Amino acid sequence: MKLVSGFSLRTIADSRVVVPVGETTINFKGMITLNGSGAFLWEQLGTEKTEAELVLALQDEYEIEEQTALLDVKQFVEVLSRAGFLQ
Amino acid sequence: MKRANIAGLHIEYSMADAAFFDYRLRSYVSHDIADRDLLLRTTVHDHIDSPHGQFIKQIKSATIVQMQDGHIARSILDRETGKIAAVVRSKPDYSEVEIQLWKHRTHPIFTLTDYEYMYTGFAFKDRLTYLGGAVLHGSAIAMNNAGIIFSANSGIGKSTHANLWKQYFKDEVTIVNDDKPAIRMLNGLPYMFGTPWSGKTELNANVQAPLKAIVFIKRSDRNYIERLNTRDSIFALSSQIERPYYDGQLGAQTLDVIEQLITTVPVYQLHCNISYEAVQVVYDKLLAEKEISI
Repeated sequence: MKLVSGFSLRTIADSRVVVPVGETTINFKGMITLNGSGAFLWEQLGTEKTEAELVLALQDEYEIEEQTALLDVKQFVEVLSRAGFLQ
Repeated sequence: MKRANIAGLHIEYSMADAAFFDYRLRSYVSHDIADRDLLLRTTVHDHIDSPHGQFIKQIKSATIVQMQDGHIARSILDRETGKIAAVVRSKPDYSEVEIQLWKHRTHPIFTLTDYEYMYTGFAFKDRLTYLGGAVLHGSAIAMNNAGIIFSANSGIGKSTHANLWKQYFKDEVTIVNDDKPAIRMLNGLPYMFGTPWSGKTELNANVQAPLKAIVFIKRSDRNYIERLNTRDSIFALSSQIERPYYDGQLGAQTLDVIEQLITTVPVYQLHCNISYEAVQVVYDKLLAEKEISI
């Protein structure tokens, strides 16, 4: 899975935000704020990744246990998927 | 071709409704032969052919193609007749924009001149954005060389509020632009500018002022003002600085401006009704924070 196009992730001051750009602005009027690990996973999903690859990447980056990483990734992917951000 | 200087952009233009734009741009006329920032031309046609080029994408009733000379052409279809109602053809950096309008386009409210006004406004906004500026949807005033922009969705009351400032402080206040003031960073500091594109009214002035505050307006029974935190400021600004549907990269550039504004301009939320007390609340706050002076 990977992100649909049309969103721009930026760090502005101390906030990590995602805003729609281009034709996405027609249907999506909001903005998403992400915490550190959320922004990290969002960037990972810029290219095709499996859940397992995301878990490994998260573990590498944050030195957390596999179980924690697995839960975090599942939760994040579910939210993105429900909102239509993944293809 | 005629010349204008709008928000520091040197523009050469030729408009279809010359009389309308001669009047509208009268405060912005320039005799400067400095390097041109934007070449803007509008023509009216009995029929507009589809621009030929490499298909890029279809977005609702707009077809975007890249032409052989590298220009991007965006054709907008009139849904009722299926005819091409307008073509906007521009260089990728928006330094040259040509607008073709279909003479027989009809609309219950808009005239052909209204369309010309809108599309030329977009062309100016796109070039300004490319050059690092932005257009903020809001009502802008200047008072003692301090620029304040009141921003909100349409119909909330930003124009009404700005006009109350004018009524209250009279000649001390200039309405710089009642709908879409331009913002540019000069030596790292934000400035706001009047432009001839001021929405439904002619309330605009060829004035620039350091941008001292952005105030987002919310209707309320009680009048009070509070500083917005970073995240809410970003959200509010990104909602009122339009990102074009036809150019994702240009839209992403507006985020650069938002980042600069967040770090240089205080952003407030004003809860207010329509009253002079609301004006006083803002005035007292900005005076206390030394954003404006008497």
